Amino acid sequence: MDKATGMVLCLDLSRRKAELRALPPSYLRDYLGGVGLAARLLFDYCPAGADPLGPENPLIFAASALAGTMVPTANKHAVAARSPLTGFIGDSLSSGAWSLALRRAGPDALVITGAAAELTYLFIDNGTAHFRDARHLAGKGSAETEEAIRREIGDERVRVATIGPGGENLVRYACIGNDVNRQAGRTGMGAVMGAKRLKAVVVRGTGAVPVADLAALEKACSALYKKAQTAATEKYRVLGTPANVLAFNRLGALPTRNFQSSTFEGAEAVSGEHLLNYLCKVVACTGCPIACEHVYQAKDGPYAGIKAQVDYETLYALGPMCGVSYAPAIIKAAELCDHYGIDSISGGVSISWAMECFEKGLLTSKDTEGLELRFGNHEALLKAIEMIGLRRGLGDLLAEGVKRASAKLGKGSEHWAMHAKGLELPGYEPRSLKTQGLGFAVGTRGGCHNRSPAYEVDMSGKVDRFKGERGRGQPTMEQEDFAATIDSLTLCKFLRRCFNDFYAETAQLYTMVTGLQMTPEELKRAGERISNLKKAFNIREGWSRADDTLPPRVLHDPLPDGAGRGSVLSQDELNLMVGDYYEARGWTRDGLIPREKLQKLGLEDVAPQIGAPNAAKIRGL
Amino acid sequence: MSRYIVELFGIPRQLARATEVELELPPGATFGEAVAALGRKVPALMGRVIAEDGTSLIEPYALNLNGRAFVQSLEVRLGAGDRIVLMTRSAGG
Repeated sequence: MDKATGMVLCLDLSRRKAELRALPPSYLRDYLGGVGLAARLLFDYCPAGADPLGPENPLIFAASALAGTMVPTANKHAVAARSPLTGFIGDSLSSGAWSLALRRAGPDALVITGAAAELTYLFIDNGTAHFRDARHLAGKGSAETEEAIRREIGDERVRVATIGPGGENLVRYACIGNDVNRQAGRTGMGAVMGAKRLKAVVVRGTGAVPVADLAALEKACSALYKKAQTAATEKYRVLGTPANVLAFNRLGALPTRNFQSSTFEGAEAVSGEHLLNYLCKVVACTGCPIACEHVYQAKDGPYAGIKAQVDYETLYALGPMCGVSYAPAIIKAAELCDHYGIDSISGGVSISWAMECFEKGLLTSKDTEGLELRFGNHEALLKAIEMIGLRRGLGDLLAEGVKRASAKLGKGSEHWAMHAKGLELPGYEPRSLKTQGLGFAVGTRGGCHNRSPAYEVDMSGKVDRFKGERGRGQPTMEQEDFAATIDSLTLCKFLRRCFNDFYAETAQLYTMVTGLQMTPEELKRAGERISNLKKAFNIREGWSRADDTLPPRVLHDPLPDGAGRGSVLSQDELNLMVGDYYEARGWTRDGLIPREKLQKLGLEDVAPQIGAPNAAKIRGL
Repeated sequence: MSRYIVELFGIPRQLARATEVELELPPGATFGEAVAALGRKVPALMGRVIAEDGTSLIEPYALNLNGRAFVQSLEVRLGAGDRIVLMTRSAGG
């Protein structure tokens, strides 16, 4: 296999065929890698209207040109497919050595189509793809699958991206794990993999990763490594992301008991500071000088000895959202999510929804196999995770995610189904971070702080975070485009404050690695292009303005407590901000992308597929 | 002199080994004066959270007033009974 960049390996599981194809030369400039490249390949390979769990839905894995080089934090890979959770674009990012192995094996990306007749794993051994029987791995958790495959191949260097039982059982928010503690977590990419009866994608790469200007890259990276040891990253290194808990609690931004309140009386007990008492080790993703991953171990009690990596989002969803303040139980819950291979955010939010249903009498112990599914009952939380992973009993309903589950249960439970476009919300209260609320509403993969980190605007001091008003569209768009760029370069967002001028410095890094002359403006435009392409995918799959909304609870129920007491994000405020955002994007009032806009971004080939309107005609009307 | 409470979160809390610090400042003091006084009272914050010259915070640290508004300018004056919250703007996770 050619080691040069610019190749995609296409794997057809139905026919057990592999074919190496050249990427269009413009792709590495226009879509970079990671999320951008995966989104473009998804648009190219996914037929319109494809069943997300059908063989026609392609599963894309994409690294970037920077992965496998010395650029800090760049060892990441994106996974994309039409999401079985949202029906829109599904894209997820994971870190670790898997992307490094892929780059060493040769291709930038994999496009996996079809479905295997029996449970299979793919083994990409440098230049050769093997389709291997995985029936003996059925039902195994993510970590044990990784270990079993390495043992089977007899090489510790092989890297494994795998699903757990949750993916095999088509839990709509199943994730894909790698390197034990890392997951491509959101939007149900693991369910797509499970539907293809693909247990794992295993890579052995031993080649060199090309770098155009090694001397310049060494100098630039040396400076970055030093900056990564300063105050810019200290929070992540010392306390990890659970440091958010107490700060968010103080800001009235910590969603608690299914967003019924924005402060948690047990916050201290689940804070990053308190969790240091359980710290087992701090781990870095391959090639990362920050090392934010805090692995905790329960010391005593019923979960003694259990270890898991717990970040803020996992903590929020399995702790405050479920009313659980017993840290060892949260560690156990995180370990179970990793074992079953399910997204801890969607899993925790789904259980939180069910707890509220139970407390309001919409679900009874008859529905829950006798579980007292009340907030704060950590034993019920753990049992519910297992039921979801196995799709057993009530778990079968919760495995559908809160949008589908609430539609099925009805009885008003849609009011507290906390999702945007079907993706369960992360731990940022939109009623006290209203720009983030806009970001959740318009996000292409659904409510997500990673693809739309608009909380940065709320915390900038430049806006009133309790007010939804005109002027939020532009900064929200800029944050989205920034995220699209950094997720496509596959750099970690925790490195973002180590740059004085992000676009200028990363454009230089990209040039040093690829030899492509990239300007800051071109890089910024690439981010905008990727954001628009993802939106175009959604339009093709039936998006309408009504999809850019927030849960009724956010729009109607005032916060009862905390710094944001009394605050709602009203429908009028949301309409104002969404309209302002469309205007900033250069889209129509209905949120469609005009043909001229697509042309400006070099996306004219996309226009016919989404019936893009002509802007001049719209104005004329 | 007026008394003000500075609430500490994250790294500032770890460095100070305290959840809050009390400052005595002249009535109508600015946030900048509060930062300088905090640096004098908790030297461990100097060079890690507060710039060595004591006049500003190191990025990404920020001040918030009473848990509501993030402070944009250190020239802003404190009001009676205000609580100052010191945290990082870096979130994510």
